[in-house]
Amino acid sequence: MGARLLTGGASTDTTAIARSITRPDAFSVIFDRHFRGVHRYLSRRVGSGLADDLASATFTVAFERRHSFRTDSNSALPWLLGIATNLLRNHRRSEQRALETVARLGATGAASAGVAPTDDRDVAGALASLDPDQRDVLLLYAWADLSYEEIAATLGVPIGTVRSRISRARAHLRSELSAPATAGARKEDR
Amino acid sequence: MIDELERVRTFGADVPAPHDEAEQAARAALARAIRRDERVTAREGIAASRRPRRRVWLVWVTAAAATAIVVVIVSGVVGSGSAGGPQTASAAVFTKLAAVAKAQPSFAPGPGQYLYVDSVQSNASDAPEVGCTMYVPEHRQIWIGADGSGRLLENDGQATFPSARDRAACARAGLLGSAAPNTYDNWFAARCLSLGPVNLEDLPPDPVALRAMLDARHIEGGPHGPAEDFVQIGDLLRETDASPALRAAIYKVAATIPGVEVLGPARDHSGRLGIGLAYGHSGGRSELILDPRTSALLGELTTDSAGKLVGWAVYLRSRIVNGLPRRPPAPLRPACVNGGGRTVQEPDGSGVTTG
Repeated sequence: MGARLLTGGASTDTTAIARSITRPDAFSVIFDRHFRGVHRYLSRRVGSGLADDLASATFTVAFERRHSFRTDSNSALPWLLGIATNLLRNHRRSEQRALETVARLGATGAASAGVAPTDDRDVAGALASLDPDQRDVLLLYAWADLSYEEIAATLGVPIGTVRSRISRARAHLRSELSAPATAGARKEDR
Repeated sequence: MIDELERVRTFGADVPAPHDEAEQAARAALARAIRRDERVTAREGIAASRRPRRRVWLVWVTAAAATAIVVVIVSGVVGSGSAGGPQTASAAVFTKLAAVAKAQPSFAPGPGQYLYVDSVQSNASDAPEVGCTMYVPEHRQIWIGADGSGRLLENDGQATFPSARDRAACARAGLLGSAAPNTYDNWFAARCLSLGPVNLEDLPPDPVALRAMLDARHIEGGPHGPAEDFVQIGDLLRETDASPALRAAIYKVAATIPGVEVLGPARDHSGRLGIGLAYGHSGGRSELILDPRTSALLGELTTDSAGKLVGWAVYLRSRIVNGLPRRPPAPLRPACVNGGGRTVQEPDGSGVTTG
């Protein structure tokens, strides 16, 4: 009821989201704080064009689901990235194609059209060959700096699953990246 | 040598910031979603209802006899609580309510059953720039199944105004049209509705553990402090199937909130007599009216710092029923995930929320 209108200040994400239950416009502060972070993460995964749409969708979905927001931290970013990751699942083929393109041509989808360094081509090829679930977990860890606990909560999986997925992903990457030539390029050249 | 994780971390790290146009478009999309929600937020409550107000038909029939009995009970509760022991008056009242709650029958729906709650509430609709305030009462009936499926049926009543000046201002601003009675009939697939603001099975019936969860804001989040504690206690008492042990624990936790004022015998907006407890703070005041015979939440009321009525609710009936009053207009599937879902308007005007 209206009681929530009357309590406290909106100094943390948790507070702002709690307040937005009765004052929906309070959710705007979440956008102000995290849009660029969410967009950056999505842009690294699928390029800036698709990231524009997915980042926008992330915040409207988050707003609609704010009733179910639960966090042990004061940041909504892990929760938002979890929503973004779910949205990405409909675009895995786009991500796959983008990675394979970088691996083959060296042109990053999000950056310049120049030839990417050999290491980027290798990493893109290795990421492209990862199991998508392992890739989700690894990139939340490596790019979004989420902890194992945060990833588990974000994706709704046990923390042991996070550990094992990261472990398997790293082992796979080690194997792929230890090859003497440009792995991604080599595969595409076959 | 750089390990594989570091190589992944540096890969693609030079992505550009979003264009201003993209950010503005996303902000506008969110603003549209917020405006949509603001239009219906008082009507489409998923999870806990945060509802107040109005009386109507119920309970008048037994008013005279019941009043006499309740006055005696309330007097007993308040009287002994104010007797100067180590507890504060509010702590004594809440402790007694805890004992009453523990002796109540369970209210949990079994398979195929629903918790049915009938309530009326109204929140102030303000247009301060034109000097208009009005209150539209909403008669709310909710059926919440054990699996989180159910139905929410709401009927708007006629708007009321705090003064003739408000009514005239609202009319001049063309706002009376929005006060026309409406009906909202919303159906929910499994896991789309929740019994209370959180999954009550996650809450411990041990008051110490429950207090720790409340302090850590692990129940609902929100700011810290006794004012918010009091609000969250109210949240846990509405439209829930909390077990008698959990309800007792909730009241025991309430007994530890400092600064709660005992109002003594108080009537809710439907005229029912209960015991009133309030928390006043810089932003206003929240009141809960509780039934000393059953420990049930009868009603609540919130005012702002100027004493202006913000909203009220009365909880008229709660009971377990063996089914929904009619069949849903469309299949209620798939189930929601984590409370999320999408709502589709059916041809008969109903909204159907599924995963």
